[in-house]
Amino acid sequence: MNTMPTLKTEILGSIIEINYQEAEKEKLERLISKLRKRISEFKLPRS
Amino acid sequence: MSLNYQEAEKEKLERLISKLRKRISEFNHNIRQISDSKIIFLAALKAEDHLEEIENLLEKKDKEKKISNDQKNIINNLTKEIISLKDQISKLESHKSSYEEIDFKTLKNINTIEDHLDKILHKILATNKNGS
Repeated sequence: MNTMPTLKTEILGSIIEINYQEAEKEKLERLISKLRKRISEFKLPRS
Repeated sequence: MSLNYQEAEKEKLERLISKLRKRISEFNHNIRQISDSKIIFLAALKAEDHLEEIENLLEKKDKEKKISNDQKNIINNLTKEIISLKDQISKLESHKSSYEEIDFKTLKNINTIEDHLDKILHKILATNKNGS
């Protein structure tokens, strides 16, 4: 039986593991990248 | 969670929070199996997916609008060309009528001259006949 690949990513200090379909990998990475960019708009620069 | 807001933005803020709650609630059935941060992450990821779909739709609409505008411009230019060509046809028809009128008058004059020539020729022949 084929198991779905798992993507491990860190968002807002939490490690998140998410299963995905291989065909959706590129889309998932693109969406996570966009989400990171959106979150970064609210992060204060470190002194 | 405490959040400062401008009074004018209160309604919008409440609406957005309500939408966010609804989005998060879509993942609440798994609340015992997954952490809060993962639920928020999944909800945010789904929101990004929706945003991407909307952006793609907007891009498609923009392209369609551009194609439609281009087609309108082509139709406008062709309409102008048709009007210009109709004007030219009208002028040419007017010229043609003038030339036809001139042709008719010329033909009439030629006929008159031919009649005169015939009469003169008859007179000459009659004179010659009488003289011989």
